[in-house]
Amino acid sequence: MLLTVLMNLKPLWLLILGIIYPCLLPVSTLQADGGTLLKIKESKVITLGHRESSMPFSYYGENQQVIGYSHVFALKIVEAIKNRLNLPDLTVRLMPVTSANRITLVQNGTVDLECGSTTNNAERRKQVAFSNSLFVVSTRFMTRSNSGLRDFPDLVGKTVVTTAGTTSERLLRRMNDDKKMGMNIISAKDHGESFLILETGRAVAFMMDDALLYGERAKAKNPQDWAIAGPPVTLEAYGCTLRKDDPDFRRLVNAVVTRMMLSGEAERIYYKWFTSPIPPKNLNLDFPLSEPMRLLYEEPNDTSFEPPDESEKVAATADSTTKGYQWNWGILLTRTPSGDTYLQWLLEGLQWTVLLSLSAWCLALLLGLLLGVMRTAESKPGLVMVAKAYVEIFRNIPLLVQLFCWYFVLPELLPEAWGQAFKQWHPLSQQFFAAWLCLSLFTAARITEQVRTAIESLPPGRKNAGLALGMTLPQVYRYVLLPVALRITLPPLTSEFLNIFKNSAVATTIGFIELSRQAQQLVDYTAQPYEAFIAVTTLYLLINVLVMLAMRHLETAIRIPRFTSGGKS
Amino acid sequence: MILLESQHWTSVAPVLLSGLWMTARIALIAIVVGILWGTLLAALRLSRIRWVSWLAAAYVNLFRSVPLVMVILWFFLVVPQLMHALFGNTVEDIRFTSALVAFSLFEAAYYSEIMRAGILSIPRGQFDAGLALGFSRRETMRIIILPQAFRNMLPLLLTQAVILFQDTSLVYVIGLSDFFGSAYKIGDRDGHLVEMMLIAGTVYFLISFMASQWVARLQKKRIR
Amino acid sequence: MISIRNISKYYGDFRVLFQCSAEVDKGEVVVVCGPSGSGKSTLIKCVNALEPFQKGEIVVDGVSVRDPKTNLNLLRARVGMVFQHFELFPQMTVLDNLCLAQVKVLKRSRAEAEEKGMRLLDRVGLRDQALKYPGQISGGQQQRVAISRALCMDPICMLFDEPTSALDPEMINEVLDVMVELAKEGMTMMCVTHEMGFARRVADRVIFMDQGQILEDSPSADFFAAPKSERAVQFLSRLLSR
Repeated sequence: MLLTVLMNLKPLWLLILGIIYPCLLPVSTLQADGGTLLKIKESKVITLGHRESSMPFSYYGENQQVIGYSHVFALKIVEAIKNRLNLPDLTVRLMPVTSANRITLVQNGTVDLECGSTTNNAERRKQVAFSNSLFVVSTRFMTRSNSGLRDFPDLVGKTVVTTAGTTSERLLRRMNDDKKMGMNIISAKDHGESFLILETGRAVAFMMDDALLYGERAKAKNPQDWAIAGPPVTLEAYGCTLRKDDPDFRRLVNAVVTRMMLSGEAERIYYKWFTSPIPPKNLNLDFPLSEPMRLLYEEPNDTSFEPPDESEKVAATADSTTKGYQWNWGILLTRTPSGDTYLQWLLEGLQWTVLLSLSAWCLALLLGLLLGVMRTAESKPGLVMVAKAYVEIFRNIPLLVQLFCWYFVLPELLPEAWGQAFKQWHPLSQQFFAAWLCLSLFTAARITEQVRTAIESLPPGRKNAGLALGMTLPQVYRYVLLPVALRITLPPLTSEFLNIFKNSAVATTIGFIELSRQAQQLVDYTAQPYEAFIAVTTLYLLINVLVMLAMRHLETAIRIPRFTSGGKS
Repeated sequence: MILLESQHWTSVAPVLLSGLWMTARIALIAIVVGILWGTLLAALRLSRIRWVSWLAAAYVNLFRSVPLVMVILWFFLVVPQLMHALFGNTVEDIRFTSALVAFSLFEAAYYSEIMRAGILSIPRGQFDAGLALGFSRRETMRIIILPQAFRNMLPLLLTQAVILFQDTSLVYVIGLSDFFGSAYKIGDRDGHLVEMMLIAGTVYFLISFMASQWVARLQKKRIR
Repeated sequence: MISIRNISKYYGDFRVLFQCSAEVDKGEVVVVCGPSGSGKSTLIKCVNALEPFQKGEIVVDGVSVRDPKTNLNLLRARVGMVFQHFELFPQMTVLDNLCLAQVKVLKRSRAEAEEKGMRLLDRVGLRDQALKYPGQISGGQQQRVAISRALCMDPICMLFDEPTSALDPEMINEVLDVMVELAKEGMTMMCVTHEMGFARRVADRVIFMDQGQILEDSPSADFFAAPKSERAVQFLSRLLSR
């Protein structure tokens, strides 16, 4: 090889090792020997995890100030820590977390205490510890006050809406199957949309956690028109999460929670957040204290209300009390709450990624070819301008912004009827359509440039030769220029093709269930981030290898004998 | 569409500006670190020692096959532990740090490919000439090859920088308030999502467009 | 057959052609020569409208080139052209190169086109190369193929744009031989070339150009015996002393 610059290898080496080694072995967790309290004492900093929009538990009020029912508990716990450690000037650092990363962040030591709306379940308990429950929600349904629907059996044969990807959805589907209720189930993309479907009468009931139902009801024009019904049968408990195997810290947290509940302070906080107007829009949830909540306040506990079989499974695995991360590749074959395996989830994500990428590729290629040809048609300055403008616009706006524009902005700018019609689509179709359009148009701009470069690299005489034979310009492009130009573009097109796969991951931001979304879902459900991420990364690598092999094959198949690039013949 | 009133602007502008500052910081640091580490990787890839070049190639290919979104999520998972191991508990904003690390390491893979092509584009005769003048291999590389390669590759490096600037918006997935994140949050909070998205798009467009026009002009000047 | 009337062409302010006029009659062979950059290639490309021009007019077989009503494709299909760099289509075999325009423009059947193509390949001695790709044959062979490709269209006249200047010296003659034969058969030809031997042998007239202007247009015998312009004298002596 021409070059060697490796006279001094050692520092390079250390650098490489320094980067790769921790990536390979990231999981020596930081169970500092003295636990969280000692860590806080030494660093004089506590990091609290909070949610950004989990109203009214933990969310931003005005001026990005974190507020909410759960957050009040968090602050009380911080007070207790200050007293215990005698650290009046303890620094409190706030770290927003999402449902996909909250467990991991607590587990890996980024966040010391997370109080939001995290459901206490067996899988999560394998990675983190839960405090005594802060709140108990039950799955119920909202319906028109005058609908006469009071209990679940009333829903037989009716159309019921729920929000996609929630526990309520799984519960609803299971109930429908088990009890042969014959309900027609609609899954909407978010709670707002679910409520819209209920409001417009396309469903008679909206099934969800009661706390969220009251939240949606509060936003309605006439909250009195809506009632929450159904007995609180299926319960879930929200708790604060903290690092596992830190009994000292957990005891402190539980002591605070218990004291607040028994002293009646918790109930006062409850009334403040659930039965009075709250920021930022001064809505009143008007959510009366439920029976399970009253029981919790009387007798604080950390019951998780899971079906017995789940708890047994936990008991079986609970003896593995070793510190740090628990590798468990078996998780991929474990059954999900909805009955399939987690591997199937990933494969479903893969399927959507492939479908999205391929269909976007088709449009992108067509459009890119068309615009690329237009871009080189010097005799038609109008066409050149159009193609130029297209390329500049789509190349200079970030893909994410474009995606949000197609998804959120386009329906608003369309004529009202169209926009509404779009919002009536199945949420998956909406997401797919927006992502497909976005990826196609974005990639088309890049293909345009590749095609232009290739055509311009052909000797100018080639076009003249075609014209001199009496062919029309379209014929010259079709038979003379494009066959060669496309061969030249093949390597860059291959990398664009790979790019479209990689870029499809951006669709995760609008909730489309492609591969990387499924990875985050898996993390949320199983709290086994490394397995999920490694599996998904491997799948992406696999796609890459396959595409490259296929393209190499294609390249050989269409090679022009003795022909090298587009230079002068 | 509701037009934003001027009072509203006075409350929104500082948030957007601090978001823009965040975007700029991530982009600039990632560009600098990415180019340095990328150059080194390119040199390693061209090394005559097999396993060294293999390792560098593996690094580059790995990063180039995985979506940036995944890389950002990965580093958000891994970096907190690393930071803790390296610096104790003193890191201010873990999301910022992990975004920086993710972007630097990710972009380095792309920069290294650009640099490698640049180095390979220098005729072999230049290297021979360097050796014939009595330079060592390393000196030849540093004094003769790299400066030429760098000059040849400057437009591509800058274009990649513009792409990087746009890509920083993906820190949205870890909730960091860069320019896009701030715009989205404000829009979502105040119910002006449409306006904020259009504003964000326009600002990104203007910056990237001007930057890429400048790169194009630079390129034209160099060819002449 | 070809009538060039007072044409001028500009690139912006730069004058490429200035008031050029010339006639090529049916069956005539006219050679255009001059130093490089004198505009001779541009002039010949104007004849089949590959280059637009701003002033004047060119009439080919009674059809005005600049008239917007003229069907340029039809005109070009009837005027054969051979290029300096051959411009065969590299992705097609030799035979396909010959058939493409016959099928797509003249709407001949594939069989008819192939038969015609093979006949012409035979004539230039390349029958056995029919299924090769342009990249697989020599430059001289490629140019002969290019000539037969133009002939396939049954042109009323042929334009040659420096057909031999991209060739290695030992291949020039095989191309010139084909051109001489064509001239002898009575083809109307307009050739831009530096091959003065060819001009002397077959050209009826020689047009000498410099800096976009036609300085001399005289029968070839006269041109070589006694060039009128000072420029032409210099040009010829430089060529001969080479």
